Amino acid sequence: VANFVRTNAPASQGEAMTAHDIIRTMIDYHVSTNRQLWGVIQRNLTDAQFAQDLGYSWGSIRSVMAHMMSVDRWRVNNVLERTDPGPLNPDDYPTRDSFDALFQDVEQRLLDLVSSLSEDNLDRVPADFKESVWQLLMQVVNHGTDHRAQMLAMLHQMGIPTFPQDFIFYLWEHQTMSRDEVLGKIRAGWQEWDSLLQPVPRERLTEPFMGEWSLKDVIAHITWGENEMLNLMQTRSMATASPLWGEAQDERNRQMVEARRDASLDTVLQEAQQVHRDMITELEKLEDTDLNEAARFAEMPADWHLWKLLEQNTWTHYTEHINLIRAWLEKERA
Amino acid sequence: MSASQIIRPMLAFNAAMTTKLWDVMMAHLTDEQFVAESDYAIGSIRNQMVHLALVERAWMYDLMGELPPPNYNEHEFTTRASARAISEKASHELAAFAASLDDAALMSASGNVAGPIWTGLVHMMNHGTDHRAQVARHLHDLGISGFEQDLGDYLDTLYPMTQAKIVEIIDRAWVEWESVIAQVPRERMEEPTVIDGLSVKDLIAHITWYEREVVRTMRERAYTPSEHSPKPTDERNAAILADSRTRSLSDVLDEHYLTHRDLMALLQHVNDADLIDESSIKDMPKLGKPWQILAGNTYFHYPEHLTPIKEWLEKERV
Repeated sequence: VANFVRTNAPASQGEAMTAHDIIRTMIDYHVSTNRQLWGVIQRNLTDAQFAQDLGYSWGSIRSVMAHMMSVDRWRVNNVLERTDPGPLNPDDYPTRDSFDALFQDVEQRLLDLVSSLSEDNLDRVPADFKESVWQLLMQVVNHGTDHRAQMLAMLHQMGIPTFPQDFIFYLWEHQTMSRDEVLGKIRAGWQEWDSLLQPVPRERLTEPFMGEWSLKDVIAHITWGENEMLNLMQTRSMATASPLWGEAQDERNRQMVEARRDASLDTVLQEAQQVHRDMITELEKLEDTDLNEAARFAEMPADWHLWKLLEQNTWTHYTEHINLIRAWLEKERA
Repeated sequence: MSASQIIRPMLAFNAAMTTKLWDVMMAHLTDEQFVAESDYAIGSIRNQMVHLALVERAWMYDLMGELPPPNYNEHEFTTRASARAISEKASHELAAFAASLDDAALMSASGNVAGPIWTGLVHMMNHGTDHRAQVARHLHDLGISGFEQDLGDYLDTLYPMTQAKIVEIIDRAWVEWESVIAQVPRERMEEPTVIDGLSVKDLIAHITWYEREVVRTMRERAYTPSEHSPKPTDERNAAILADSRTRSLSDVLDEHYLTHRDLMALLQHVNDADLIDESSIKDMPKLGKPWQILAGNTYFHYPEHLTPIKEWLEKERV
């Protein structure tokens, strides 16, 4: 899990970010995830299921949605110091279609409000409140996550497939990374990886330490992933990816290591260095847009980005194995 | 406004809510229920809580640019007490780490992750809310309630309501209420056409009834239910309406203004501490802190009924 949930910046590193950027990013996440949930509700539920009392939280998904929209609208009015019309009555929305206009209106007002704010007025305390603007808006975000978690469980209860609502996944979908940032991460990670392996005596590189796997196997495993990245960048196509990607992770790992079992240690070590060098060379030829636009690669799913694939197959991958190797070496030393 | 002003309380909130959830689970859950499998999300309550601890610890090390210790196996934690120890350690250490960072550090990139540190910290806060909500659902299914994680309630402990502030807010809301009521000609106050067959007089009597309850409770510093107060909301409101329909407009208006005058007079003698201390009112049902009950019966209540009156005035071109 720790390897999977890693993030990228909501703005290029070095660019000055402000408290307003944080609040805007959080509200964008809130509205985007609400829209994702609303899409699932619209596509998968009947109007009867929408209004069905499920015996939890506010009762029906419609009631929880109405409550959430009441609070979102309330907070917009609080910040703007306008009279709020009070809680919505779910019974006024007998169908999903009748709720849709309300939903779109409230969420757009929230986005418009946050866009209209400036750094200076986040600290302002609206009339009738003791909380400041940023506090009222962060309440919207936390409140939304809490109630979406309830509704996702309710959807599951009705047999409807759900989705993770992690903030970090939202950032992954919406953020970019420059070529130089990626190169910096890979180089720093590789240096740590290399400096960990260099002092290990040669005879220990073939000694099993992780189940049947030796350090030689781990090196071959890392090289396999880097070679896939090299191949992707050279061919600009997912069509040439290894068929092993179609296997479950454990089986894929087993087969890729098995394929290099008969190779000599020297061969595996030389391959590792060569593939890494070639991958860096190929990466240096790319433009920033190549790292962030799926359309630059044939057959790449639209929500994939090269930088994320590189991250998972290089620096975070090194970290995962460095951790295990270091623990083994320390245990042996003790 | 600084980033650390936002991030620090968010991570403190995360740690406080994890502790609050553990308090509920230690009091009401058994170890058997704790490890019982579930087909939703990542399984048992144990799995959820160990997952939270693992992810928070891994992220903290990543954000610090260090390698995390080896992962736990959730099956090692067969009791609530054993899991609570690592869970609270992870969330409180993460909050302490967040508190140690200034704005420059929050905006900087760390060693092991690609983005600025604040994104990882906010992710952890949001991730915690998500998983705690899933656990709360499990608890509900086991017949255990009592866990809520509202950020507003938490911030209320950091920025408590004061006597001066609530008087100011109620005064302002009352001025608006009065200014709208003043636009209604006396001869039209009993027309039952404002909303759902109700008149302005009905709505005024309704507002007054709730304020009168507050006044009596404040005066006695104890909750003594009146005839209608134990009834369900709709039934209670119907009874209040039926009573008011038997009374003259003058009577209703007089009581309205006198009750509000009494309320504001009583508020002059309230201490700040009384407003946040739920035990300051004897026998008070669990409806929130005293200031929240006051707000709900005054400045949050007026606008609810003011809006239809304004719309009616507009429509009727009074």
